[in-house]
Amino acid sequence: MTALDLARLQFALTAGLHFLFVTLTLGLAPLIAFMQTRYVLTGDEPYRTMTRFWGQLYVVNYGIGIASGLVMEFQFGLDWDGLGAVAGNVFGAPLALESLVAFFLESTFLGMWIFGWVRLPRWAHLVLIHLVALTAIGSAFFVMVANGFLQHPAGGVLRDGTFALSDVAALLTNPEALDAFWHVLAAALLAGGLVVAGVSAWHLRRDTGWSEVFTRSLRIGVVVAAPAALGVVNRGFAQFDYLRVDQPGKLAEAFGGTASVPAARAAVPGGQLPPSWIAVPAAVMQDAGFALAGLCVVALLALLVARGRPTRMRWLLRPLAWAVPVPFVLVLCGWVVREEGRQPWVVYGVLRTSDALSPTGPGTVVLSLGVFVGLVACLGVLDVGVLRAQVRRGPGSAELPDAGPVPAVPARAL
Amino acid sequence: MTVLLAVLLTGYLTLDGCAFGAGLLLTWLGRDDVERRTVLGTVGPFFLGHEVWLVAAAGLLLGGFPTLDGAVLAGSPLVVVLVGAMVLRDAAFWLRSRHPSARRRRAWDRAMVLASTVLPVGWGAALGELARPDPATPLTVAYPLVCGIAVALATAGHGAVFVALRSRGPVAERAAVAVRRLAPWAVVGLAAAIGGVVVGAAHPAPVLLVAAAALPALPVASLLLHRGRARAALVTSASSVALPLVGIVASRAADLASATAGPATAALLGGVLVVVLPLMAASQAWLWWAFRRPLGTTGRYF
Repeated sequence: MTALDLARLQFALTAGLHFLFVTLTLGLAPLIAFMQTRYVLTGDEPYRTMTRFWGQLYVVNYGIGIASGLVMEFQFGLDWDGLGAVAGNVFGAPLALESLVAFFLESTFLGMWIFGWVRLPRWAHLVLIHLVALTAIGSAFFVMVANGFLQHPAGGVLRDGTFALSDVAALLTNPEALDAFWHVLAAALLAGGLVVAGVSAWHLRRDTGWSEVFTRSLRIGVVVAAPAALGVVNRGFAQFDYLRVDQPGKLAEAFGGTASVPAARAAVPGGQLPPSWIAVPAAVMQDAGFALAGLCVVALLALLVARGRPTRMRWLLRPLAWAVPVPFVLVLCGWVVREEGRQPWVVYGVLRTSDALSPTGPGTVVLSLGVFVGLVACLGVLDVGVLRAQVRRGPGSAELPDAGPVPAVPARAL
Repeated sequence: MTVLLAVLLTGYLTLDGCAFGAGLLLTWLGRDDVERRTVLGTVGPFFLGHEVWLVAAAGLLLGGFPTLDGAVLAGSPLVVVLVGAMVLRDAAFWLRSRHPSARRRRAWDRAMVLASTVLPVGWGAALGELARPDPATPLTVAYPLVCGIAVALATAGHGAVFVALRSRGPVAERAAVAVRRLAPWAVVGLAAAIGGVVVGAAHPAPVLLVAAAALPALPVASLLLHRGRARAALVTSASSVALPLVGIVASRAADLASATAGPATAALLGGVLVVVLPLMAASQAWLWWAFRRPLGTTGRYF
């Protein structure tokens, strides 16, 4: 394999693994914010337990996810300085905003939220988790703007071989950014909802003794997952509109079938199409996505029929539990289609991926590939391991700091 | 924007320097599980909020200085080592107390000490390269190591002051002892690093002046701590880390300024930052205000 192949593989693996952490973060935060809001408004103890149980999973995933993100961020500089040289003035701006604005605030607030259980007044603590969820969504938006520019360089103008920012509005409203953002957000909510629903289903099937906590959680999970699934499908097809114009090659190879390929070859710059195997992850994403949407809608209907009591719909509990990993597989498929589908370009129609590579020898790339991918893979394994252990232990041992039970009246006072 | 990058980088190393120090000294300051969790708990609420200064600096580097991050990072094995150590340190912080097993916790503690040592040494080496980029002089190989050790000593001392401030009992006492013992070595380390700059730097003056001001910082901090003025001690020990860094960045300011992004990008970033920087500052101020007093045993997570 050449240095180019190795560098591309390294990026694909580290970015892909990082995105798995992101999907859970993005999808779970709004649900936790909702649960905590219900707790603060009603004072119901189960909502507090739910917030702390799902919250502890969120925190571990977030912390380890940052580490994977650090690896990814350094890759841009390490292996792809050609991209920075040509497109850095435009591409770098939304990424800078993502880390400076959204991520900075998100992390500061989350750090406070973890320890705020023992230090902050209830309302301040609630505001924090809402801010965390909002800034997470902001983060996703800026990243999609950056990636959208790569797919279709709107808002930048080429001068002497480098891009200058010419139109901020065009950069931010690039359909390749916006439409994809909604699709990604819906996918994340589907993942978050299904994780909550599936894990709850697992506990309910085993009657682990927290039926109120997991019944309410299951309801919330399904009520979020079903419309999110429909939203993902809808926003997925909506992207065909801009693909038809901007990247007919991707559309033809991934979704169009062999008949549409020759026409696409005439329409793409340089006559070069992306690899035809992207039809496989595209098919997996669509077919499994439809099945998942079907499952979620059926679950929602069943919940309505069962009047919100999952004990009357036990036949659904096992499929829900099994469905938990599926959204994560599908988001990976989607990203493979999106990123492979723009090849051989890194800035579509302007800069080839092969020209964006840093002039490092294959030896260094092999070293960083081994180290970085190894690290991120270990992080993934650790993350799943710890989350599974926390899920199995259940809400009784939620590990977030706690002010503890109300102290008993001391004997002397009596 | 050069100023902002300098502020973010200096801020990061000063703030996360507390965590470096606490992690580096973890097994010495904390002799059992409870004590070690106390040490980690001093950093606790600030861990994310301080670490994120680095992400902000990296983001600004990527967006505001688009040609620079390639030049700085491309092909450098030191960066690979730093990133690896950062990942290990983070994983250790988050996962250490997630395992009920004492053996696993001790293993993570050892990983924490290792990573928290490699990090300041690596940063020091990188900063040494920044201060003295001339490759022709014969001290080139040893100098980054000298700088690395100097930074490790300074952050260890600074971290110990932080732990002393935010804990009580045997942990705090050991932390004060650590500051007292480390201070003279930190002075020696910094003096050696400054000496290296005198020998071969391109722009010695700003570095020397500012770094020299940091020489007495850790001994003074130790004295203040002994007198019970822990907060003043922390500010002083912070300057032992921050001042040399300010000097180094000032010496390369011209190079940094010449690599800034084009006018439209700078305008966009600048425009957003004008609105958002006060928010960022306010969020950090809220963080420090809300958690200014140490958390008790109920406030345990790490």
